[in-house]
This record gives sequence, structure tokens and C-alpha cells, in this order.
Amino acid sequence: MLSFVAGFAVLSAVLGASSPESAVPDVFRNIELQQVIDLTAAYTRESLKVVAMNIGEEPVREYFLPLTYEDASKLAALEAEDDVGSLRINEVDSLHDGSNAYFSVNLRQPVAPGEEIEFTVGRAFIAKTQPYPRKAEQSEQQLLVYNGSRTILSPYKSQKQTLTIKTVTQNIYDVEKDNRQTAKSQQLGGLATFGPFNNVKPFTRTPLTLQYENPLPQVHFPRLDRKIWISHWGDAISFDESYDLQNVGTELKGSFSRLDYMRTSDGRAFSLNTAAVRQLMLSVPSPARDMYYVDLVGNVSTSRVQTSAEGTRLEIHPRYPVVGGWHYNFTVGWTNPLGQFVHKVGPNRYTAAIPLLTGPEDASYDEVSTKIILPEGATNIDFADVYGNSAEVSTVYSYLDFQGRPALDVVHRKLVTDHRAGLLLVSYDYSLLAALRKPLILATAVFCVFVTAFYGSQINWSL
Amino acid sequence: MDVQNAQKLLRIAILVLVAGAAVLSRLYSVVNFESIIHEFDPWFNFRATRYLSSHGFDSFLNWFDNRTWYPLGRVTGGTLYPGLMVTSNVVHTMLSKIGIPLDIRNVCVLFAPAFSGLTAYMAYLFGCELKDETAGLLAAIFLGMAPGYTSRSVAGSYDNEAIAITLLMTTFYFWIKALKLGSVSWAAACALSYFYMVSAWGGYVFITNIIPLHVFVLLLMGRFHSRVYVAYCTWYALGTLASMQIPFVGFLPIRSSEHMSALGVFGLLQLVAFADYVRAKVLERQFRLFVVSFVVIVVAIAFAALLGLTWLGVIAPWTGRFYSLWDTEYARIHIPIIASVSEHQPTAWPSFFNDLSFLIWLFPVGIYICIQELRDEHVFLVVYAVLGSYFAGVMVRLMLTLTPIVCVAGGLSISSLLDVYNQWNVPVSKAPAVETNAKVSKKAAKAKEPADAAPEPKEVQGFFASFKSANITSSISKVVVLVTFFGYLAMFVSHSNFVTQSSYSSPSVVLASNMPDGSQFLIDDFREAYYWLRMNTPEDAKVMSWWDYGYQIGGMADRTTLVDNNTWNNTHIATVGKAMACDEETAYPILRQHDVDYILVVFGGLLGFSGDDINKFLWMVRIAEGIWPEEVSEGRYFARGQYRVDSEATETMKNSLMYKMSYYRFPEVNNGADRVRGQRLSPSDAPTLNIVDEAFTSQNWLVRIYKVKDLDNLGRQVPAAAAFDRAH
Repeated sequence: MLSFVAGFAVLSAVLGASSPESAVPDVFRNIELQQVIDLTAAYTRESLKVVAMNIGEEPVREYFLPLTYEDASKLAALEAEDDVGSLRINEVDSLHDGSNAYFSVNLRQPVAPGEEIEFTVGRAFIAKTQPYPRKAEQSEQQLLVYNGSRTILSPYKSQKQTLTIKTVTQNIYDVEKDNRQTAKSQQLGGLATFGPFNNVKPFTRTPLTLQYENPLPQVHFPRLDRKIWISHWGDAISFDESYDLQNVGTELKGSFSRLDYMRTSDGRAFSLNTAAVRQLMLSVPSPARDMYYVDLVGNVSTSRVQTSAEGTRLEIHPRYPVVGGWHYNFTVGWTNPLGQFVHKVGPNRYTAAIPLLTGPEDASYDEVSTKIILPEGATNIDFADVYGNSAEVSTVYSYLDFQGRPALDVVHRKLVTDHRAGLLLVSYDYSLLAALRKPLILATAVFCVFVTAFYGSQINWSL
Repeated sequence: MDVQNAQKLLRIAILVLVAGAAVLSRLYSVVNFESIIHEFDPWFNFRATRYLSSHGFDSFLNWFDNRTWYPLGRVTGGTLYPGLMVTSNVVHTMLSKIGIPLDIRNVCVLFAPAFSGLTAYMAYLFGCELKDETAGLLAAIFLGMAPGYTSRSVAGSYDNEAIAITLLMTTFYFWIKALKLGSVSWAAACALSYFYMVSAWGGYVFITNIIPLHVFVLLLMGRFHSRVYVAYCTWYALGTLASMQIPFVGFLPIRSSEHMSALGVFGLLQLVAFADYVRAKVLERQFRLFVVSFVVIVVAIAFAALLGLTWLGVIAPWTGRFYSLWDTEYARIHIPIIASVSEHQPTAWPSFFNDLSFLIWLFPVGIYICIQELRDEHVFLVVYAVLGSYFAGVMVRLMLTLTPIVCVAGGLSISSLLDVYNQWNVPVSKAPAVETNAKVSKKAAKAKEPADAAPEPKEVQGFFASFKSANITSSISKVVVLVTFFGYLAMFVSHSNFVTQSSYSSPSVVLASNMPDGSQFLIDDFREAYYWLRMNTPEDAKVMSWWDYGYQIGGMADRTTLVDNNTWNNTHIATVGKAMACDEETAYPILRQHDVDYILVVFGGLLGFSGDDINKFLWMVRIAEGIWPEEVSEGRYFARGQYRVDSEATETMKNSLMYKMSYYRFPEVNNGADRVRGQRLSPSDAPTLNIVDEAFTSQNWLVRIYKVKDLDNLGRQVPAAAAFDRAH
């Protein structure tokens, strides 16, 4: 097994060793790059602190960050901030070359020649780590493999680079080191530090393969369907979210023994039993009411609601422990007061600010589709979110609808728990007349029924 | 006029309240548990309904289901009664048309309560025809709440019976109406309703036999009349033709013995009508001779034809389930598969009291009153009562057909009692023609029906009328009787509610138990395991289990099953029984031949759930023995005449696949104490598995799923390979 891992590492070393010609102007020198890779969650979080100096002759406003295409395809979140606040960051398609994709950080103001700047880039990746070995027995531990680079990829020359990797337990194996003893690294608890590396050339990539233990469930949602119903009559905004859950950790080989699961679920020793998804915590905007937790065959009775000052937490248990490789799906829903998310911004004009995600802690999503259903008769609908997605408008017919409700469909790909801060903004016109239409139609219908019944009763129906 | 309107309004209000009570009392299952389909058969009906709503009516009737009875499949569209599914689908479509887009599951769950509200209304109409509105209203409330009916119609009990009882009452009401009026229209309505009934429930045979029997009894009583002739012939001709349109029924109405009485009475009526005609034309003496010779010849020919056709096989011989109605021992000896179903067992005495409360002793009173009055429709009631009582005694589930008649009879007797004891304006004169205020409207209403052939109410002659002339002057006796019966009525309501809530509202998919602190705790192992199957096995995986769980696996796990609750193929069930009962070497080829991927067993030993597979195991053995007597023998599973699962168990028992799968690694938990059998397995009894691997066990070990091993790569026998692997 070990030799296979080594071969794996050699392969990635060959792939990584490239320093192509780049169109990026060489105007910065990295004084220091500090990267922290957090492998404690179900997805990979990286934070990169950049201290750089303008070595060119003109003021510059853009700092470029390369990312291998493989990483770019797994990228879920990318943001940058300095002392003042967040910085804008865009993908620069024109710069893409044979091996890397490029992103530019738009600095707050142009950096004068010789001036230093400092900012931090945060990134999140989905599926950057894989279980290795892919399958294991129930009693074995869950080992994951991280493939990356010891040095930090940058189009600029770096004076100093350091890399820190955080893991849950102390079991980290540097595959390169154990077999070839090249790079220096030290293990400190759940931390592995590499470097400092001095005077690193641009585009240096030194492959790094880490096998580490992660005893926590690797929660991944290939799909999440959200339906959000806005009702002015009910003074309510209702959420209905259907999750497809998959545990992307080490797959269970052979049989699942309930007896072994019962014996080792106390968590004293890490195994696939502890890496099984046995509960999920959902933060629901408070005050929420009418909560439900169901799946395709009905109500799941194993859930609990905790209400505290910060919010309502919904603790749900899947019907069965979702061991690595297993699937589960469920639907949760609840209702909030309308005023919590919808505000009046003008005469007959309303704006709804709806959270992009409300899902459980520590999870990643491949595709999140959101359907926002506005009240019947809403017009002039505008939609915006921070990612520049656009929404399609469709019509939904629900209880006692006459002309149907306008609905907005928007799809987001590759999201992680950190996106819970994101918002979807919807504005629409909703007049009193539109609100009164439904009760008037209903009243007329009921009246007609009574009139018919009255005249019908005057007729002799006997056979 | 005012009094009449007020009474009408009051009646409507009472009926609405009765329907409301009937619906609400059936919602305990939703309140205590959830909106879920119950038990076994409803899961099939639910699955069929979903198929209908997604594929349309034509493909529903042509539905060949390859996900059950693997590898045979089932011609589901041609072997089911589509009435229930079609009705709920129509309801579902109508509701979404008027802007109420309910989930089809909720329509199915609430279907039975909604129809029980209708049943109560039909009981009211039926009672009105038999006596008066008071009797009708009482019959409505009784039928609305009686546990005997509730047992089959709580929310979630989405079974054929849910709609069938409504249709039963409707058909009977139309029949009475047609018979009283001799009306072709009412008889046609009766035939339509009969057709609906045929499309909904196999129990339609009850109607097919009771109406001819009623007519036959009327003939014997010398009550032949053109009204009888018109009503019966219209009903029979239209109803039979219509019923033959149901694919599952097809030509049964002219071929099966169960339908022969209806045909016979139809023929008899023609003869009687002919004789009647002849009598009008010829002399009395000639007529006698004519009748005697005619009857002898005709009966002889008919009987010979019946025997001959049955012998030739043109008329199907009577089915086993039908025999078991007459001889309760028959099923146990000849058809274990029917006897193994608990609802086919004879009824225990206490369940009559449990299901009918005080109505069980009012029932004879009502029948006595009917016999006293004895108009044509009362004859019907008597006939129904006799047949219904007999069948209810033979089979637990037929309590359902007895309940309506008991409720109507109860309504008759209580209303008669009220007639006597609830007269507060004592008539000034004793002349019975003078009516008390309370009865004015009713009599006026009756008088409005011109074709009513019953004696005119004003010329009081009948037994019912004598109640009103009964003159009880003592207020004390009135008050005592009324208060007593008010107490009985209140007790009935509380008893019905209690029984409905405690005995009949459990979905049986979910088991309720109590935590030490008294709070309710749900044991949801079935759904846990089914859902695991659904989410974590290939979509075309074949799951073998005992037939009880076939419908649930189809509905909840959405996987292909070998056998299910339809039980149409006894051999296939016996094959599954044999695979469970044999040792692994014998079972493995059977499993391979049937492409079995997973085996599901239900094991209650850890939890103390007595309805598990080890307790059903003897039925599997018996059914397998019926087909392979030389390979499976019931006696070999008994250790010195006892059913043992511990170290005393026989070798055959210990080697059987079912035993091994149930007790695999069980001695390691809870000291191996089996809470159902009350026996203890020591670690040395622990079975080893060679041909299957444990795939999943639910939280309380209630459901255990095993994966069948693939053929060995080295070509060894699978048990041998497993033994080799264990050793190394």
C-alpha cells in the first residue's frame, strides 16, 4: 500500500513541476507568503497572507494569483480582505495559460513603486482531499490524502514562504518524507509546518502528499433543493429544503455490523463508526415555527429543537448512521415571520433578503437550486446576489391560486458552509389590489355555490 | 312549515356533526403518529395510486409489474380492484383543479375518514327507509363511530374496505329503494353502485349473494310482486354486465360458483313470473299440476347443469377462501397460506363486545322489531343479519360487514325506545291517528312520496306505529329509561373513542413504546431498514423476505421483491419458505436461481417484538412442506415437541438459514436473551454464516438485512470458501 502512495506522489511531482512562460507582469516581490491549510473540516479551507512590494516603476492596482486548473475546478469560495475590509477579486480569463488559471485581487488603491501591501486571501475547495485507502473495514480509521504543494504557487518571486497544515489528530504522514526524506517538516499535535522556504522562484511547485487521519464525517450534499414561499397574507416566509446527503469519507468494505457500531460508538477510539454521520446541526433563523424533518417515507422522529438567544438549532439524526460511501436524503422545513426577511422599501415595493444557505455545519454542496415563490400578483421582480447569478422566472400554482405565483429559480454550484453569510435579494411590487384579489374571487365562488344550492333545492329531483 | 324547516336544518346540522365526529375520531393515528400509510396492503394500494397518477389510466389497467414476484412479475393491472385507486386519483385531480394541490399521500391517508363520513350519511338514508329519521340519525352516529368499522378506516388505512363499506351501504339503500318503489331508475342506480363496489373490493360477492337470497326469501314468503321482479331483473342484468367490465372479475359472474345463486334466482324469477302469468289464465287445479311438474323438471335440469358444468370445469370450483367460510378447519388443513393470516382466524367472543360495544345486545332487539314489522325491507335486514353474524363469527375481518347491520339495528331499537319513552305531550285522545308534534314533519315527508307502497302512515297498522300509541304516563319511568340510555350512548361514544385510539390507530410500520419518564418513544426500525435499502442498494436489487413485508418493501424501499402480500403464487412463496427453512448448502442454489441480492428478516428477540420471522417460521416450514414434503418436514424443527431456539434446538433448526440470519452474533448482545421466546442463547450457539454477509441491522435489531455472496472466484463452493476464509 505504501509503495502505491509513493508512486502516487511521484506522479503528482511530475505533473506539478512546471514553470511556464506567463503573461503576468513581474511587478511585485512577495516579502512573505504565509499559507494555512485547514484540513479539519469536510472541505479544505486555505488562508493565504500576502505581504508584497511593488518593484516596478508604476503604481499597480492588481495582484495576480494563479491556481492550477485542477484546483480551480474544485474552488468553492475565494475572497480577499485587508485591514480595512474585503477586496474585490475576479477571474482573469485572458491570462489563463497551459497550466494555471489566474485571479486578480483589486487592491484598495494603486500601490506606488517601493510601497508594501498586506492582505489575506481566503479559499475553500471541495473534494480536494480523498480517502485513501478508499475502502476500509468498520473498525479501521479514516485516512484521507491531501495533494498540494509545499511551496506556494505565485507568479512573483518570494523572499519567504511558510506553510502550515491543521488536522484533527496528530496522525499525519508526509508521504514524501517517509519515503524520500527530502522536505523538512515537523509535526506538532494537529499541526504540520513546512518551511520557511527562502527565495522561491515564481511558479515553483513542490508536490506534497499528506496522508492524515480525520475521524469526522465527511458530509457532502451533491444536491440541495430549496423552496422559499413568501406569503403576505400569512405574514410568513416558509423554507423547505431537500438535501441529498453523501458521506464522502472512507467507504465501508464488507458488512456493517450493528453490534460493532453499538460497541464503539462511544468515540474512545476513532474508526469508521465515529466517521459516520449520526447527527447534523442546522441553524434556523429564530424565531422559527412549524418545523418538520421528513424523508421520502414520512416523518423522521429523531430530531430535537434547541432554542437559545443566538438562534434556533435543529438537531436531526438520519434514520441510520450514514457510514462512508452511504447515501441519505431528507427534507427540513420551517416558517419565519415575514418581517424578518422582507422589508417595505417604498409604496407597494418590497425587498426580501434571503440567506443563501441555512444548512448544517461543516458541509459542502455541489449544486444548490433555490426557488423563491413570491405572492400571487407580485410584479416588477428584480433579483441579485453577490455572485452575479441571474434567476429565471416561472409560475407556480398553489393553494387557491387563480393566476399562479411568480417564482424565481436560481442555481448555485460549489458552495460550502461558509457561504451561509451570503444573501439572495429579491425586490417586487405587491399592491393592495393584488392582495385582495384572492379573497374576492373566493368569496364570489362560495357565493355562487350557495346560490346554486338554493335554486337546486327548489327543484324536485326525485327519480 | 317553520317546524319543518327547523327540523330539516337540525337534521342537516346533526348529520354534518356526525360526519365530523366520524372523521375526527379517525384522525388519532395522524395526531399520535403522523400522516403515514398503515400496515401492509395499503402500501400496495398507495404504490398503485402513485402509478396511476403518474402513468395514466390506460397504462394502469395494462400494468405489468416486474418489480414484484421476481422473476415472474405480476399482471397487476388485471389482478386488482381499481376502484380505490381511481377514486382517490379523481379526488386528487379534482382538488388540484379547484386550487387545492394536496400531496397524493395525504389524499390517500385521509381517504378512509372522508368516506366514513359518507358512510354515516348512507346509514342515515338506510335507517330512514327502514323506520324514520330518528332511526336514521342514530344509525348514522353508530356507524360513524363503531370500532368495528373504524378498525378498517382510520386515517392511513388506505385499503379497499375504506371505500367498500360506503358502497355496500349505498348499494343496499338503492336496493331497498328500488324494491319498495319497483323503480327501474333506482334499480339502475343500485346496479351502478354495485358496479362501483365490484371495482373496489372482492367482498362484492357478499352483495351478489345477499340480494338474491333476499329475493328468494321473499318468494318463499309468497311476496312475489312485479316490484320485486322489476328491481331484481334490472339490478341483475345491468349489474352483472357492468361488473364484467372489471378486468379482474371478467367472466367470473357467469362461471364461478359464488355467483351462481344470483343467476339461479334470476332464472327462478322468470319462472315465477311465468307461473304467475299462467295462473291468471288457467284453472286452479290445472295450475297445481302444472306448477308441480314444472318445478320438478326445472330444478332437476338446473341442478344437473350446475353439477355437469362444474365437473366439466366450465364453472370454476369454489375457491379455498370460500370453503374456509363454511369449514373453519378447512384452511388449516389444506391451505396454510390462508390460515397463516391472523385476520382469517375465527373471531374471539370478546372482540364482538370490543368492536360493537352496547350495540351487540341491541342488535337482536332491532332484528326482533324488524321481524314484528316485516315489510320487504325488513326481511332484507333479517337476511343480512343472519348471514353477517355467521361470517363475522368465522373470520375476524368480516366483522366489518356485520358492523353496518348492527348499527342500523341498534338505531332501530333505540329510536323505538325513544318513540315509547320520549312522548311528553300525552295524546288527549287515544286515537292513534292523532300525531304528536314531533312527528308531524316526518309523516308529512313520507306522505310526499306518492309511490310508497308501504301502508300509508296515517292508517296506523304496523308494529312501529304501535309505539306511538303506547301510553306511558309515569314521568319517573320515562326519565329513568331515558337517562339510562343516555348513559349507554355516552358510554358508547367514549368506548369507541378509546378503542379507536388505543387499538386501531397504530400504523404498525412505527411501533410506539414508552421511555422510563413516560414520554412516547417511537421504534422506527422498519422504515430505517427500508430506507437504507432504498438509498444504498442498486435500484434493480432483488430483495427476498417473507411475503408479509413484500408490499412494504415495494412501497418504502422501492426494490424488487420475490413474494408479496398478494400471495397469488403459492409455489413461489413455498420456494422462499424453503430457502429460509433449509440449510445453507441447499438454500444457496435457490438464492442464485432467483438472483437474490439481499435477504431481509425481521427479528424481535432483542426488543421483544413477537410478530417476527422466527415466530412465523413454522408457517414458512408448513407452506414449503406442502410443496416439498420429502425435503422439508415440520417435525424436524421441534425439539421433543417444543419450539426451541437455544442450545436445545434441533440441528435442522440451527442449520436453517432463517435461524442463522436471525441469531447471527446475537449471543454477544444482551447475554443472548431472546425476549420473545424467553430462551437464552449461549455463545456456543452462535451461528456462522457462509453464504451471506450482514449488510445492515436496524437500531433495535428488528430488521436485519443480509447480502448474498457472489460465486467464488476460484470456483469453490461458497460455503466451503467461507469456511476456508474463516480458518485463515
